[in-house]
Amino acid sequence: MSNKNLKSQTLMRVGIVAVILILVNVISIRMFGRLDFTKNNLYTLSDASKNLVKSLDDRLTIKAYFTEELPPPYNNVRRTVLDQLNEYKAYSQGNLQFEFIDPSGEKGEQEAQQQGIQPVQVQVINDDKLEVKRGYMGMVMLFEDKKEVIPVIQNTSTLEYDLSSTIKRLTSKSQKKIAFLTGQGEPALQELQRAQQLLSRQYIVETADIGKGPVGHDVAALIVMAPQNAFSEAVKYQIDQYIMRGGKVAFLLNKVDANLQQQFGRTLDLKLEDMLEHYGLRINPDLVRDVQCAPINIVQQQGGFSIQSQVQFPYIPIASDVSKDNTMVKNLQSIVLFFVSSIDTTNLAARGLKGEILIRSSKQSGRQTQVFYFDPMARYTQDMFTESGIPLAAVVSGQFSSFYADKPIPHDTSDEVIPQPGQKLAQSSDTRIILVGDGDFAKDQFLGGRDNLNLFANMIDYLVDDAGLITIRSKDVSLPPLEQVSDGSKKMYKFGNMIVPPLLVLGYGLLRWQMRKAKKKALETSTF
Amino acid sequence: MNSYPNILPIFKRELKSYFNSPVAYVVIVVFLAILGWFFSTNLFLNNVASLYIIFDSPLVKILFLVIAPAITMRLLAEERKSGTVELLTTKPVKDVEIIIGKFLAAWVVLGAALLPTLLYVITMAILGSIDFGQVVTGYIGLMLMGGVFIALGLLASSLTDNQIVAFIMGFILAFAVFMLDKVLIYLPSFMASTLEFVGVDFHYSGIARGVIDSRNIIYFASMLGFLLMMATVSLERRKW
Repeated sequence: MSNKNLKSQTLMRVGIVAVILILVNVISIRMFGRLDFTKNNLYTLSDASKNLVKSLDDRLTIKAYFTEELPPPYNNVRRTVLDQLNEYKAYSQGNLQFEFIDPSGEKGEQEAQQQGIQPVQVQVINDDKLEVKRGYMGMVMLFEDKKEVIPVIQNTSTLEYDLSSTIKRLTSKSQKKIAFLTGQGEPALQELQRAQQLLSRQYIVETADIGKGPVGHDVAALIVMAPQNAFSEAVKYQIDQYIMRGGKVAFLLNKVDANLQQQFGRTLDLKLEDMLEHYGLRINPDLVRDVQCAPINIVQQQGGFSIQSQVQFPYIPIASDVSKDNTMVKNLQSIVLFFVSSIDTTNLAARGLKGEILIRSSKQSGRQTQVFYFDPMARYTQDMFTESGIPLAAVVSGQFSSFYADKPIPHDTSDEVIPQPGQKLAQSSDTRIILVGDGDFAKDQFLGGRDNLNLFANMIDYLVDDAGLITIRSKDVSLPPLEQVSDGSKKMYKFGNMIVPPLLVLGYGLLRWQMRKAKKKALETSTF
Repeated sequence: MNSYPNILPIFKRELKSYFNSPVAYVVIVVFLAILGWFFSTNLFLNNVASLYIIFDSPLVKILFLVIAPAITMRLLAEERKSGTVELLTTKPVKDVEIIIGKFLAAWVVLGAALLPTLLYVITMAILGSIDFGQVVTGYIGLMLMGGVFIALGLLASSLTDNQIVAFIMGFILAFAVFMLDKVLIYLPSFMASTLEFVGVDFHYSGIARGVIDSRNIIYFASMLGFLLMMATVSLERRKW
């Protein structure tokens, strides 16, 4: 074979193989399979979503308006959404249909905007100039005569939750209602905007001032969050009777009202404690401190300069010891609690109720009682953190007996006497109550990472029995924190990881070298 | 393997010569020292039990970009210079056997550089609950991406008889394939998705986050196959 022949033959072979490889890859983009190796199957459709689309009883149409040829990272969003919708479709038994529409041109843009999809500004480079292009990345879902819009999908980390919760809201026959109790100095809804936003995707959120009348029958869950003032007997009676009717309540309470600025805290007498005690729950007048805690910023004056620095503040524990059996918390890794009081559920068993501690403090924690004075610069000693796993939140389920079973119906003395409707119930059906020793963790200013918000929303979903959504939401988890270790161990881990791997390699090299030398020597001596 | 009986002996010989020369140790120790420093300083700062931060960091990718051509630079360039390729190839050894044997040896050296980083995994596992599935796919991803870099370095090494030139060319090739999906914004949009698909980082991060996707695996297999074929052709050029 001549050399020329060999050359052309080789080049031909290369060309053919290249074409085949390109074809295989093009096909593989359309036909693919994937295995999710992450612990929580982060990238796989959860059972809740599968069941949701499986149970569709009518045609659900999704129109995804995505401008084609957007620069990265936006083109990835389109890809991810397409993959995700394909998965939904695969489980929908034909009831879910979707189409991608490229809203380019004036007409297309008009249509997208009419559907309620807002354009996003995207930077592209065109002819050496940085241009701002308008792109669309939203979708419309149509079901029967109803319509839901997701105006912008920019972050795909919560995509499944966004899709499933929207489908759920669109296809559910009626929306459940949840109420925030007001009237006892609770924070206004404006302080809970993010929590409220998240909840109102799923529920009708309202406030309830129940001093003058009972909690509505249609309220699926009542939230008692961070009240400041004492409860009147009339309000307590309404809560009690709401529970007796099978209502679900989340008590998120600040037993000690602490103020970081004033570095001082005082015990609150909410007059609610006796009723909780009756249900088998207690919130202790203490504050839990924890070695695993969040830092705070402090400003110090030093020689005319103000110096800002961060110090670890043990009264803001980061709780990661959660009940692994409960869907509400099992995937949460770092819940930041602001001045949290310990709770006690030891009386539950005597009342025939079932309790479960949801959140505990870390292995190195302690309690501050009686005097609540905080100096951020205070020195903490080991003996202040001798306790382990102090209960901070719990859920109780079972049949509760009424606090007012053998008491007269209280009358509101401040206002005109309100006739109490209906008859007094003495025993509840199966229901559940959540108690958390901190009322602030869901406030906007304290939200911190996602886990706080997820905890709050999970609690509500759990109370109104929407467990499916919890499993989807909890996929969007933050990374687990490391265990707290002493400074000495930290140094050891750090230097160990820095030095040991290179040393291992060097050691192996030297060993090999020595062995070769010995072998060589042996070889030399044996030949002579 | 039967039709290519010489791959294994070449692989063994090459691997032995790696571990008998100081170059591999220098490369691996420098790699581990830099990576270890990065891991340790960030360990308690990040305070999360996940190696994804290492896998996804630009540092580990840049280190790979540098050490891969450093491992491969002498593979063919040196032999061309000293004339041992002629020795190798006058024996009844196929060029493709040389390429695959040497590629595998260099790939194993890269794996040997990663092996001691299991200490990081152990540290994380002691200090927190780590997602082992993600760790495994992270290492698979690193080996596949490193494999592409090694193949590119081997190709570069086959093109020249100067080791330094081979290193620089190998680095530039790997860097180009790595950067493809980073510069998309500067390119016309109709090319963007194609170039992104060719870029190695896009597929690497897909695997490193914890998902083994057939698209990524097929990409890596095609890429490795194509590059090794190119290196073989480049070696065959002597006969043209």
